[in-house]
Amino acid sequence: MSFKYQKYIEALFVHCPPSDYVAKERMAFRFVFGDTYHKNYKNNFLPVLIIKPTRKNGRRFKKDSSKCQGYALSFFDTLKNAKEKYAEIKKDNPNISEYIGTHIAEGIIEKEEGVVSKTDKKGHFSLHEFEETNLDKKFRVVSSLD
Amino acid sequence: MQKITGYSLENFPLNLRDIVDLIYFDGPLLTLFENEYGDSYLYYWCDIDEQCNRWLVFRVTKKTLRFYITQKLALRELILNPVDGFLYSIELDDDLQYRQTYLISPPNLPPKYIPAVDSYYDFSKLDSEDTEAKGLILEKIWDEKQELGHLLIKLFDKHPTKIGEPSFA
Repeated sequence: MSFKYQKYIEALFVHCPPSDYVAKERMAFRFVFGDTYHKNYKNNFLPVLIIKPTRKNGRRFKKDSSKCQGYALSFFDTLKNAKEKYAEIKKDNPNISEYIGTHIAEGIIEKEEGVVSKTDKKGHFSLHEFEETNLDKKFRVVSSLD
Repeated sequence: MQKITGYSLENFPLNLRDIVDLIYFDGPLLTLFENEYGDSYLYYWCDIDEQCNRWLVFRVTKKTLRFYITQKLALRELILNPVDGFLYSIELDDDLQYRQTYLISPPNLPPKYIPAVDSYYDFSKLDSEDTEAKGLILEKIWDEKQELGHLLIKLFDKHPTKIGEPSFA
């Protein structure tokens, strides 16, 4: 099955997605902009390097493995972990909601929709979507971040 | 974006190169830079609009940077007490071109740009994909091998196999 950003990831000189990513059903929580009129609402389910393609020229995305990650979407496994991460980031950057979102959306990622990484100790995981996946149609806002 | 009260500059006067992201979530939020003499500067993300990201840029000494990494100083203290007494506010567009530069005095910073009292650092704020970041940070804040060994013991709760040649996870 093709990935949503196949033409970008097949140009990389690494195995992308990494071989430990697997297709499985997961409950998932993601930072989003809840207001449909917000300037970034349209980007709610777009990976970093699709929103800002020029960033792949910066140091952060110099390695192909990092570029691969730039075509994935970030999620958390529980609402609690998503809220805790937001609180942690907000201590350092009180204005962070302008960048990462104002709300948390919840949904189920089906195994037909992509492959996911292992969950880290703070509940974060990444998804490489398959071609036909449209998560913005299935996720719903469940909590405000402030 | 928040309204800025500061002195407008025609150009950003520093020539800095980026070293390592200290805080990262879907993009860098705090990055260590250096000038041509090895002086350290921090780029602190603070705001965004349709065209630009705004960053506060300020010089830090090796000592204050070390105190921040080892949780003796909060990020708030670094931002409110910059070594030079002022911060630069720069706006960078998507092509990383400078659009606006201001000199700002810390008392004029918008409250939304000031970290919390307990904004202490820990390595979990690094980008998990950046496997070299921990080592780079330690290299930048510590000169003496013995002191580095002590820091490693404190941070990772174990003795390095050989001081001076640490193995980072």
